[in-house]
Amino acid sequence: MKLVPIFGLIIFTTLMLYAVSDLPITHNPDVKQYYLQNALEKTGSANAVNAIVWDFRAYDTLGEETVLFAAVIAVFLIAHKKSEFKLKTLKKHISKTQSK
Amino acid sequence: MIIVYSLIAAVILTALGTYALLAKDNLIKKIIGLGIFTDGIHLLLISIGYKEEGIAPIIRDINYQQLGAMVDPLPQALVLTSIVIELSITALALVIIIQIHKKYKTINSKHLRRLKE
Amino acid sequence: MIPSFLAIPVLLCAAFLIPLAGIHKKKWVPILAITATLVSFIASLMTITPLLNSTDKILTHQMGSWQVPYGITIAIDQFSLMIITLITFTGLLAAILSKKYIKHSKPEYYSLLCLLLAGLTGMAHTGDLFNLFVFLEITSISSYALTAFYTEKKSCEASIKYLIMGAFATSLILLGIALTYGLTGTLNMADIAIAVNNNPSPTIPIIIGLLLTGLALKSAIVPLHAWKPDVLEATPIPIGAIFASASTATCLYAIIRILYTIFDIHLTTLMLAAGTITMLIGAILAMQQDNILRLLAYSAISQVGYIMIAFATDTTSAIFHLFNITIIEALLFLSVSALLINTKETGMTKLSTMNLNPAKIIPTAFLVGALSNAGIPLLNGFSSKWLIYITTLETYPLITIAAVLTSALTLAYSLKAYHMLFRSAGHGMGKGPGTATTKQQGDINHNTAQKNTGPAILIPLITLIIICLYFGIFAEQGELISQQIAESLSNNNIYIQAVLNK
Repeated sequence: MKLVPIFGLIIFTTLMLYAVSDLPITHNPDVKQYYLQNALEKTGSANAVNAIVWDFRAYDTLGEETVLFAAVIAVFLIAHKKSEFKLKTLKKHISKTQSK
Repeated sequence: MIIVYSLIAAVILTALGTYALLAKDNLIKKIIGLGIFTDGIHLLLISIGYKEEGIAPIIRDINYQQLGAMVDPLPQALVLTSIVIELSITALALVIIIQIHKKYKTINSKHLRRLKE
Repeated sequence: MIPSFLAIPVLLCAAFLIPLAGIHKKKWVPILAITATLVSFIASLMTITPLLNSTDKILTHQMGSWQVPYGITIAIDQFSLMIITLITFTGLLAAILSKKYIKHSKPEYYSLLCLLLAGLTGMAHTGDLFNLFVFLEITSISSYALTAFYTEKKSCEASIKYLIMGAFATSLILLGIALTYGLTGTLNMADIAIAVNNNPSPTIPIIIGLLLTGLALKSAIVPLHAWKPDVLEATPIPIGAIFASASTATCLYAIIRILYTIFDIHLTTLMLAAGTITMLIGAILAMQQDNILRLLAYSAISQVGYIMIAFATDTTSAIFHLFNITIIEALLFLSVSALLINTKETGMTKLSTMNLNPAKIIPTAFLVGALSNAGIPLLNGFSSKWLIYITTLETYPLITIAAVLTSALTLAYSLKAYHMLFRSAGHGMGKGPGTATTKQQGDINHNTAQKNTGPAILIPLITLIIICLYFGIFAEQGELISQQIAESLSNNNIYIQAVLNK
């Protein structure tokens, strides 16, 4: 077992447990009340999460779709190597038939 | 006190994910560790908005008396965005690992030493 | 209205249209990218007058016209506008130079370049913490993909290492944001500043630690810098210019926004320690490098150390130095990419024997950049470094000694790089192309090589040289502008009032 990661993890876990212990005390429910009260009237959506994702914070959804698009372009860039594959098998085939 | 349990579970998931990321040598295991780490953070986010005996934040028939008992909808929206981002990173990482396997014939991170100091 | 916000939709539209154009007419692809970056640069220049005429010198805008803490705020103050101008400017120059550098106009390259610039611009505009995270992810994904652009051995290895480290860092940032939301109940930067001021809580140091660790890895501060030389060696060199200049500047902007505006904390000791170690280790490791791109990468890391030290003592010199470093790194990387148009070789000992026949502007550009990096008078690096020496001498004289020592090391390796690249035996500098003595393996076939002159190379290099000379000779102008920006950063109440009352 590797000692350095385990030691670092114990410190990390202690700090995180200390951090989450204080959370429910100082939370301010203003923003949540606004979203729940105005989701149906101002956006017409009964589902509050839907109203947030597509209306109140739609700019974040645009960013998320851009991330998806960037990943698609990246996968197309890195994985698209068909022509190299065909050339290699062609060369192998030629060398095999010539050596016979 | 269910809220304490889910926050503790989130921290444990985060710690396990970090251990897999740091201590394992295989690149695929590192990506799995990254996924577990991010899932722990998502669980932490959702359990911040928990309310005891709460109901889902769907407003039926405009019954405003029940608004006080609804769970917080904002962290759920943040988690939706974050899941898509984690998906993109995992897809990109796996494609790059396929290319590494084609070129190096190994996916042990200790053997990827072509870039020296 | 904010004219520079137009840059984000324009760049996104260009990024979405470039793959379509790549199918039909490949000739339009670089033209589309250059047009988009030009429009975004002009838009960011047009915002200077409205910003300086507005009250409190802050422009805000609510996305979707929702009220302040319930929607996403776009808030620009003077520091943001400086960063936006730098991002769009270096993006424009890199797009112009890529037209010559990238053969066969690959549409994926230009699309990812536009997405990278859109992500950086979005990070600089936003006034909302989760929005910062989303645009940081756009930048990161484009960076991981552009690192693996060539799909060779070293590019894939650099990319997977950068991906694992960078994804871990942004997840730490998300953890910090989650804890901040749990503590305050809102995600708007101004609202968090008020809430943190009213309820001090023991969780806040942990939140700051998490956010700073993630952003420090993204801007390559020393314990977390290991990805930067590998990435800058493996990526196409104009993209390396954007990584070293605009990306680092934006991540430092994010650190300052979180520390000074949201949490109102000045971490003097930590920044001094991190800055000193970064400066010294960057310069020492740069002396040992043979590869020109790794040398420039370590040089960039060491200059970020200067900026950290300056933020610990006096914000004016830090902002001026941040501006100068962005210009200098862009100049150095773009001049190296103009030099290495025809070859993939980056080791300096091998390059000193090859006959690259560079155009006359390229050695001048590299020399101006290298001397400015080292702090020679009459260039802009000297103006900001002199300010840093003066301000640190009053309070921490040992740090000034370390800074001067690093400057000496920087001069040493910069001159060594200049000598090996441009003044060595095998070079036909000043002689014609046919006078190389022996034909070695890897020499360039001059009949099929591209000439490295033309407007695609002259415009970026000459513009950057002019800016370097301007801020070197008229240093007072730069100092005055930085002082205004530093004053707007010193008091976060102006920002909070401007955002919450509009």
